Order: sequence, then C-alpha cells, then structure tokens
Amino acid sequence: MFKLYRTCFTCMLLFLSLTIHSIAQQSNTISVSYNSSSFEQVVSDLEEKTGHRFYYDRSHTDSLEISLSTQHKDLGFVLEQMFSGTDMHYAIDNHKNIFITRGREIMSNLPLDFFGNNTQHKDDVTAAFDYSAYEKREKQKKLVESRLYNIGQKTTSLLGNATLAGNIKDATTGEAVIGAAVFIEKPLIGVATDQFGFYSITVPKGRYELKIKSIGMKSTQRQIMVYADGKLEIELEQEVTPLKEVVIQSDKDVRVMGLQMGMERLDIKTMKNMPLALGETDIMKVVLTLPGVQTVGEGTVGINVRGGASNQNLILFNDAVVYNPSHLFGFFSTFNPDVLKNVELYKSGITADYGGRLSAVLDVTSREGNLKKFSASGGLSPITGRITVEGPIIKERTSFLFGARSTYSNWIMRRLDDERLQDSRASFYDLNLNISHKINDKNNLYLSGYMSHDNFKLAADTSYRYSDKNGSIKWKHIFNNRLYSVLTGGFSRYDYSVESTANPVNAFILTFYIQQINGKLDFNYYLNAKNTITAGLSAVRYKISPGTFQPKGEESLIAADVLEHEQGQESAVYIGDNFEFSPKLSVYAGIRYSFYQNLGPRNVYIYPASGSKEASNIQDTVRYGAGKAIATYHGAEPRLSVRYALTEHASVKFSYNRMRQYVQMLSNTTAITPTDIWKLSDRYIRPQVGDQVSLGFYKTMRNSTIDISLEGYYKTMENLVDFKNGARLLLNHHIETDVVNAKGKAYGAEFMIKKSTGKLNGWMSYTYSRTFLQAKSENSSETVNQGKYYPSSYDKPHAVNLIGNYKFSRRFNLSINMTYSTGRPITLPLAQFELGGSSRLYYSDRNRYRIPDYFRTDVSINVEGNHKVKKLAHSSWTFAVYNLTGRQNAYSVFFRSENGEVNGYKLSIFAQPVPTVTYNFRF
Amino acid sequence: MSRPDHSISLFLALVIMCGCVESYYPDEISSAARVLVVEGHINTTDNTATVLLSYSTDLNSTDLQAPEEAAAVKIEREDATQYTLSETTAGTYQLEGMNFDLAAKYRLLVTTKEGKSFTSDLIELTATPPIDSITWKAEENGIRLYGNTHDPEKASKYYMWKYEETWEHTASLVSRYKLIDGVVFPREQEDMLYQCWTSQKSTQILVGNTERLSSEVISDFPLTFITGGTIRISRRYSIIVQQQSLTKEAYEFWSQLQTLSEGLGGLFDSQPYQLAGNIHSNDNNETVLGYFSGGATTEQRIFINYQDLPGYLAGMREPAICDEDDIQSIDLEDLPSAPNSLLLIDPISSPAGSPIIGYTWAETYCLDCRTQGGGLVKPDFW
Repeated sequence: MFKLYRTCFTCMLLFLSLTIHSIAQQSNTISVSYNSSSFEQVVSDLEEKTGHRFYYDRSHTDSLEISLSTQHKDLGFVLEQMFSGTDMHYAIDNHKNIFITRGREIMSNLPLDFFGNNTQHKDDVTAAFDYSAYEKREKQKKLVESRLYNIGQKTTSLLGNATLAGNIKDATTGEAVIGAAVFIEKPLIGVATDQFGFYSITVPKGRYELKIKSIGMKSTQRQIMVYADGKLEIELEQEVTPLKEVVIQSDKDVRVMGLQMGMERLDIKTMKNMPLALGETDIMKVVLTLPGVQTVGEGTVGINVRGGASNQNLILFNDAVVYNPSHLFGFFSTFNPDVLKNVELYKSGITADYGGRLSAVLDVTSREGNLKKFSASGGLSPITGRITVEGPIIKERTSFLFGARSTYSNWIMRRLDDERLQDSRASFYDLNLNISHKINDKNNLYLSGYMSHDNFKLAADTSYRYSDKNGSIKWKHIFNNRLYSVLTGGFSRYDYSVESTANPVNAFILTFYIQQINGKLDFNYYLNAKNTITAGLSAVRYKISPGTFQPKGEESLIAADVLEHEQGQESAVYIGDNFEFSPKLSVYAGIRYSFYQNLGPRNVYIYPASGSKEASNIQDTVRYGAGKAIATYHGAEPRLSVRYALTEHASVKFSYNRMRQYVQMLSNTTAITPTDIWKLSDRYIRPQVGDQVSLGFYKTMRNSTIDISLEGYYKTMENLVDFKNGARLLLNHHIETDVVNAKGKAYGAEFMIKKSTGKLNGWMSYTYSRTFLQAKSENSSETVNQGKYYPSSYDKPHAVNLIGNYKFSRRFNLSINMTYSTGRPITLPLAQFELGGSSRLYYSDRNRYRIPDYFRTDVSINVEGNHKVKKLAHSSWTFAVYNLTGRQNAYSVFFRSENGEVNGYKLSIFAQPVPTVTYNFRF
Repeated sequence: MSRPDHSISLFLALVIMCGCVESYYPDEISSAARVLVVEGHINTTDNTATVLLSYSTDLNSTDLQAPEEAAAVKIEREDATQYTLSETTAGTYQLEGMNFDLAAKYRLLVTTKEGKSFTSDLIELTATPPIDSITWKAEENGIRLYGNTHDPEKASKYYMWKYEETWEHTASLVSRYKLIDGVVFPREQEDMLYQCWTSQKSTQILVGNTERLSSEVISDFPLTFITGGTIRISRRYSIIVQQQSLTKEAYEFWSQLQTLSEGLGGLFDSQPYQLAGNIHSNDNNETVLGYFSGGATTEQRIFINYQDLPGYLAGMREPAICDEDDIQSIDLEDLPSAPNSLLLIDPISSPAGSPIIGYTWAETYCLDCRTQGGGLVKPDFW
C-alpha cells in the first residue's frame, strides 16, 4: 500500500523532505518495531515511549498500516519514516504536542516577531493557518483526486472485469449531475451518467485514473484500484464563474465518440447567456437556434424539427407529457428557467425507450432541490416575476424545489390609455414542485408536479383560458451495480375553455380536455464493458373530451352540444442494446413494439367504401360499448445507431428509426393556437408512421475546442393529417369528413461549427431542409393541389444561425444571436373578383408562395455582481435588445377586402428593436 | 410574487407598439388568371332572377369591371322547364314576373360567348321569416346597429343580410343665387345645392346562424357601426335591411368567403384557399367562381335622427368644411366674364339699401353638397 502512495506522491515527498527537517528538532532517541500495526497502536506506543501527545484526525489515518523497525532514532526520524510515501505531515511544538495533518504541513511556531514584540505569546500553541475557503476547496479536491480508492474486496487475482457504479453529484447542492462523462483512457472505456446522475462502468480489474467531465462543472479524476465490483460516489464542483462557457454538449469528446447522433443537449447556463425577447430565458426559443429546428413565426411556441409538424414532438417535463408548452398565445414557453436543469433534443437516432411521436423528443429536466442548504432565487423582467425556493427537508436525503412565475405588471396596464388594452386582459402563471427523496443507497424516489395556466381576452367579448397540468412519480431501485430499474407513473392533462357572455342570449362556454395516465417500467443492465441493455414496458391510457358547448346563464338560448369522449390505450415493450464491437465501432440496436386500441363507448359513422367521406354520405351509425375496440393498430419500431471512429478526433455515424404516433393535434391554422384540438387515431384517422435515416460526420479540432458536424437526413411520413379547404374542426361530430390523409417527405443537411471554450465561444450553423406533403385521393375533395407534392407550412429551405458569446471579464459578457431563414410558404391571391357587393380574392394553390425572408439580430449584455462567495445575495443584470436592426420581419402576409376594395398587408410582430432589462437574484 | 390572475398588458403594449401592419404587395403576383364569376340569385318575393357575369381581374388592376356580355343565361326547373334571362346592362342578366315555385328546385345554365358552358347544382328556394326589429345602441365612439329575427316555423337556421344606408347631409354654406351666362338668378327650391342624400350598399358579407341555439332566434346580430360626428349621422340617417334565409350549403359558402376576404390578419389565421361554389364547368375542369341561390327576402327600414343621439355623440360633430372665412366677393362688372359654375351666396350692397355692387361666393365644395357624395333628389321613402 505504501508503494502505491509513493508512486503518486513523488512531488509531495520532495516538498515534504525539504520542509520537515527544520521542524524536527527533538532528540530523545527511541527504538520501535511495528509490523502491519494500525496507526492507533503506533500512536499509543509512541506516546508511552516519548511522553508526547498526538493530535490527529482518525479518518485520515484509518487506512494507514505501519511496518517499521528502528533502533535508537529520534522521534522525528521515526515519524518521517512512518509518513514517507503518504501525504501526511507532522509538526511538534515545545509542549510535546504532535500534530498530524494531511495534505498540508503546519508550523508549530510563529515566525519571530509575528506580533511586533518578541516576548509575548511565544509559548502559545498555534494551530493551522486560516486557509481561505477557496484554497481549502482546492486542497480538498486535490486530495480526493490523488487519493487511491480501492474498489471491492482486495484480491490478488486481477483477472476479469469488475463494475464500478455510483452517483455523481454537485458538491454545492447535492444535485445529480446528468450526462457527465465518466471514463478511463487506457483502454478507452466511457459511460455517461443517466438522468439520476447514476453511472455504471465495467472495466478490466486493475489500476486506473477515472476521469469525470461535465458541462458547467470542473473536471475531476479519481485514482482507482479495481479489485471487484464496487461503489464510488463522486462530487463535482461548479465552475467558479457561470459566465465562462457556452457549451451545448455535455462533453467535448461525446460529440465525436458518443454513439448518439442528432441530439443536442442544452444546459440552463447556456440558455441564460443568450439574448432573448422580453427578457425571459425561454428554452423553446433557444432550441430554435439549433440546426434543423424551425418555427412558422416568432409569436408561436411550436417547433418543427426536421420537417415534422409541431405536434409530432414529444415534449416531456420530468417524464410527463406536456401538451401545450405556451404562455400568452405562444410568445413564451411555460418552462420556468429557474427550475430547469437541462434540455435534450433528439432529432434522430431516437432510442427505443422513447415512443409515441413521429418527429423528435424534447426532454426537459428540472433540477432537484438543494440537499445541503436552503436557497432562493428569482428575477424580474418586463413581463414576469419569478421565484424559486429550494432546500433540504431531511438533510442529505430529501429535498424540495418550488418555482413560481407570474405576470406582475397589472399596474402598468391601468396606466395605458389605449382602449384596446383597457378591454384586453392577458395573464398567466406556472408552478413547479419537485421532491426527491433518498430512501437508502438502493432506492430513490422523485416526485414532480407542474402546472401552467393562461387567461386572456383581447378587446373582444370572448375570453379564453387554458391550462396544462402534469405530475410524475419515479422510483429508482438499484438491484446491484449493473442493474437498476425505474418505475414511473405519470398524469398529464391539457384543457381549455372559451367563454362569451357579452350577449346573454348567445352566452356560451366551450370546453375541451385531453388527459393521459401512463405507467412505465424501465430496466438498465450493464451486461459487461461492451454491452448495456435497456428494456422496458409502458402503457398510456388516453381520454379526450373533444368539445362541450354549453349555455352560460339563464337567458342563454344556446343548445348544449356535447361531443362523445374518446378513449384509447397505447402499450409498448422495448429492448435495446448498446454494443461496442471495438473501440472504433459501436452499435445501438433496439426495437419497440407498440400496440394501440381506440376504445368505446362511442358512436362511429359508417361511410360507403368508395366515394368521399362527407356528412351527406353517412350510411349508418355503429355503437361500440365501453371498452370495445373500435380500431386496433400495432407495429414494430426498429431503431439503429452506428458509430465508426475514423480517428481519435473524427467519426461517422448512421442511424435509422421508425416512429409511430397515435394521438395528433388537429390545427388548420399556421401557428399553434391554444384552442387546437387533439384527436386519437380511430377507424378513419390512422396512426402516423415515420421513418428516418440519417448520416453524420463529426470532427473535433484544435485540441477538442472546435467541433464540426455535418448531418444529413431523409424522412418519410405516412398517414399525416391535412385538412380540406374550409375544414371545421371545433365541435365537429364527424371530423373524418374534414380531414385528408396525406403523406410527407423531408430531407436536409445540417452543418454546425462550434467553439465551446475560450473568451470567444459560440456556434454557427447552416441548415438546408425541405419538407413536402401530398394529399391524393380518388375524390377531388380529399385532394390538395391536384395530388401533387406541396411544401408544408414550415418548409424553410435555408437557415443560418450564429450564436456568439464574448467574455470580457468574469462579470461582464456580451452575447449576440443572428438568425436568417427563408420565408415560410403561404397561399396568396392571384386575382380579384366581384361577388356579394365587394371585391373578393381568388387564391393560388396551397403554399405556392413565400413570405419575405426572415432576419434578426439580438444582443445582450450580462453584468454579474461581484463574485464574493460569502455575499448575502448574488445578483445579475441582463440588458438585451431583441431585433437590434429593427427589421420588419413578416409574420404573415394577407389580403382583405375593405369597403369594396382589396388591400394587401404585411404583419410584423417585433417590428422595432425591443430593449429589455432583467434583474436576477439568488441567496 | 403577485397573485396569479393578475392581468398584464405591458406585453400587449409592446406588441402593439412594436407590431405593425403595413401595406404590402408581393412582386410575384402577376398572374393573368381570368376566371368566370357567376353571382346568381332568385328572389321569390318580387319574382325576379338576377345573374351577374364577370371575369376576375388582376390584383393591381384598377378597372374592376370585366363583365361577360352576350352570354346565354337560363334558369332550369328540375322538370327541365327553362327560362331565359335577358341582358339589361353589360354583364347583368335579368328575368322578371316569374312565378317561382318554393317547392321546386332550380339550376342555373350559363354559356359564355366563347361557348364554354357552366351549370350550377340544383338549389332549394328558402322561405324567409320577417325581421323582428332593427335596433341600435350607443357606444363610446358611435352607434352600432343590430338585427333581430326569429323563425316561428323553425325552418330557417342560416341567414344573410344586406343593407342600404341613406343619409341626409348639407353643404357648409347656402348658395341662394346662380349665374347663367353672366346673369344672376335666385335659386328656386328645386335647384338648391344645399341638401343631399347619399346611399350606399353594404360591402361586407353578413351571415349568421342559429345552429347552436335551442330556438331559432337571432338576437342582436351586429350589422354596421356609425362613427359619431361623421356626415352619416349629421342630420338624419336611414337603413333598409334585407334578410334572406340560406340553405346550409349557401351559408357555408358565404361564411367561408367572408373569412377569406374580410377575416384574415390575425395571429392564428388558417391558410386561405380556393373556394369552390356550386357552379361547375361542363366541358373540362375550368375553374368557375360564384354561387347560385334563391329564396324570399324580407326587409325593414328604420330612421335615426341626429336629435336621437345621446349628448356625448351629438357633441362629436366634425368641423364644417367651410365657414365665413371662405366667403369671397366678386364685383358686378366682373360677373359677365365669370363662368356659370361660380356659385353665388348673397348680394352685396354698400351702404345698406343702396344698389347691389357685387355678390359673395365661395368654392364649390363649400356650397354644393354633392361634392361630399349623393344627390339632390330626396328619396321617396324620406
């Protein structure tokens, strides 16, 4: 054991031997003989023999075994021998006290004339130096990094592999660190921590340096000696300045060496540095700066990933589905930046554990509460006030995190004279609560609740209210180092209501909801160093109330119209294996099999087999009883990812995945509206099926500071839903008569260059992407644009994004965001004609034209308060200008017939520079 | 933390301040689409049928008139009896004194002079209940007019309204004398230029339904808005509202046409599209626009006097176009060379009682009410 110490502490030894001699001054000689004695035995022996008294920390010495034999040597020599090869130091003062310290030696005497006179205090025992907190931490860190950790029972045989597992936590908050890379270099074996901060790495038995790297955290390493399976808990420190980095990938090496492709991970620190509209950090807007992600307009929260519709994204918040992540008609997303930890967007290479949506997965994870101390943070922007409180309920075991955000500027409204505003109201709030509890080393419990609420009324008599709620509970059980399971239960509900009471005779209230209850059991098995197997099953029960229209008030003559509820059940099993054939070649292969049933009770209309589905063609109505299957669909969803390393710094990856989607949003507006309805697949609306292949090339340069990636993809989509001209979706008892079955294709290439570190960092991306739909049928009413492929509303071929961040100092940084994209397709009038006493418009084929190109530049300056660790409150200011150039980007182009003549207009939303100031605090 | 349900509007203010709508015409649109437009209607109340045929025009074209002349237009009863309409003015085809059978179905047959032929679907004629009342309510900036109706037969669920407004207005000053070839004549009552009546037909599509109501009642359907202080309500205003029941198909057509041509421009618009009516090409898939419908029409007229307005609206009068400062004078000896269009106000005699030395006059827009629209003839119903 001493041998081992010696190897790693050569430098320290040199240092030691130079300094200790001056301190060792006593001259009583002793003779000792120890053979594998414990430190305590040695101490009691020496105390008896010399009359000295030892002071030491038992935890520093419990692993010491001392074998030493000397004759007539002084105490100093004995101690020196004893501690040689360790990082222990000793000091002896004039009162026969011996202080044993670790890592840093102490002086037992003050320097001469320390107090200005050399008579007093000479005899005082002066203990250690007052290390500054920072130095202390650095010291501790050095210590844990250099100490050798023995993993497992010591054996002499080092044959075979062993599995090391544990959790990686934030040293300050005790929170799990997700996506940290844990690896050894020779041979190169690495894993990433999962969503719980858990890692499990299987290595050949032996001696290694285990390295840990993560975004926003200081890299660290551990010296390990692996004898058998064992545990190692690791705490990481936060980077001292949160301003330093804009990093969008958990680790520099992951992009090239990881198996995953088409995935972007953004952590909240990155997002907070980006200049944004209205002073709010908004993850949906940040995601839009990534290649392959588009939106139809700036006032909408919907994102279109690689040519998919916005409802084809699975948006998860702590594993619970979010149906409408928008506030204020879509100007904000509902995710409170203060409670978020990170966001992962999967564009391709989606693993088998995800299912249910066609296009992409946006996995939003919130933080866990601080396990060590209470803290609060918050901020004020022109629109919202927000506050987050967190802390331990049971120290080191149970923590909570509560976040709330709301509009606060009610008083400003009253000061505005504009009538339109006086009649208008718009408010929102959102709440988050997370509780995590460590039952014991093997069991953890996580509870998450989320709610968002919106209310608005815009200069009209109709008021809108919508709300998204979800909750999830997760139980993680570790069977052993190699196998763990997570049992998840979740509930999500989205509902809205529209109400009008201006005319009592027509006063009504319209309500809608979709809810789902889901359960899921996932297993993660680290079979061996080369194989990680994931498997699981899940079930989702859907219930939709497609519309309830009811009179409001006594006088109302409105006839109640209640659409029958829809029920559905989606179940799936999956298994996947991450297999490393060789350091160069890794493969993930998985398969998911999903099974869906649309269930009664419900009436189903029957249409003639040939001919179009029109309300006038309804032949019959069939009643399905409760629990009876109206329609059943099932299918396999294979997933495959392959990575081949060309060199240490370059790789190519390929992936294929098939996805199936059984619930869709029906919206014939360009932007998502709060009152869009969701619809389950049924007898007529078949489940959407999408296939995507993608191929990518990845390279890091300049010592891993610059990443380059190039990805191409081709996608086909079946059974998409498009709409007949003039389709009516709300309160439609036979919606199948208003929709058309379409198929889609999308393809594109994404190029990205990124510099993650240094004073100047950021990324630039260029995306070429096309997406088309085709609706073809024998019935002309179910055909769009004569059955030819036409661009979908979010087909924007060229997009360029530039995100730059320049750090002037630790307290001051400047960010810039530039976005260019081709204008989205629209339908424009070709001619005008007279009808009904006025000019009317004759429109082109669907999506034949485009609105003007989009270009915007935003800047923001972040000023942090000073970085003193022991301040009561830390604060920062963000000054940002959205749309610096004031370009009047078109949101839409439209024509209206007014007073008998046709006028063309362009609507811009942020048509001027929008300056904002945001104040953030934390204490 | 503020209470959750606080309203905000700074945001709205931002959007309204920053957001902007500006006039815009994309360059790309220069298609020379020339599509036949058919607007056909059978009126069973006065037993007439009117069909307007025209062609669509370029968006930028200022000439909206592109009538289809010399076409053959017929209405065919479902038993194949045909009635031919005759062209009264360019592109307008009419048939009068017919006895349409409310129980029968009719279709429209059009053959253009180029020989292309078009046929409409068979339509049902609708009975229309009477208008219960036309009412108005004062708002902050003016008055809003509403229509009310109900169908005791419970047959009509879909309605369309059209209206014609008429208002009386005056010139700023009164011209009492006229000049004919240098000679001054006092104006008789019949050639006074002071008082005018202007009429205007509705240009918006006004459709409503009782589909979602438990009884067939239309209550307070907003028809139009008159801004306070404008010339419309400066003396006396009248509106005649015509009500017509629609079939469900006709309602869908007009309501979609309304959305497409009047309702766009919000944040959550649906995509506009080509709206197909109930008229089809016989020969090929040539596009034809428009609609053929028919039924009874009921109407009601109301008057609103300036004196009926609440005080705050009456006080909102726009300043007169001209006042005394606009009055000029002309000497007697200059009159013979003055044009006949010179409008004279009063004779000038100085000092009082002495012979006339000249006349006062003013610009035409101060004296002739027709410069603000309308005509001098009082309508029959006034």
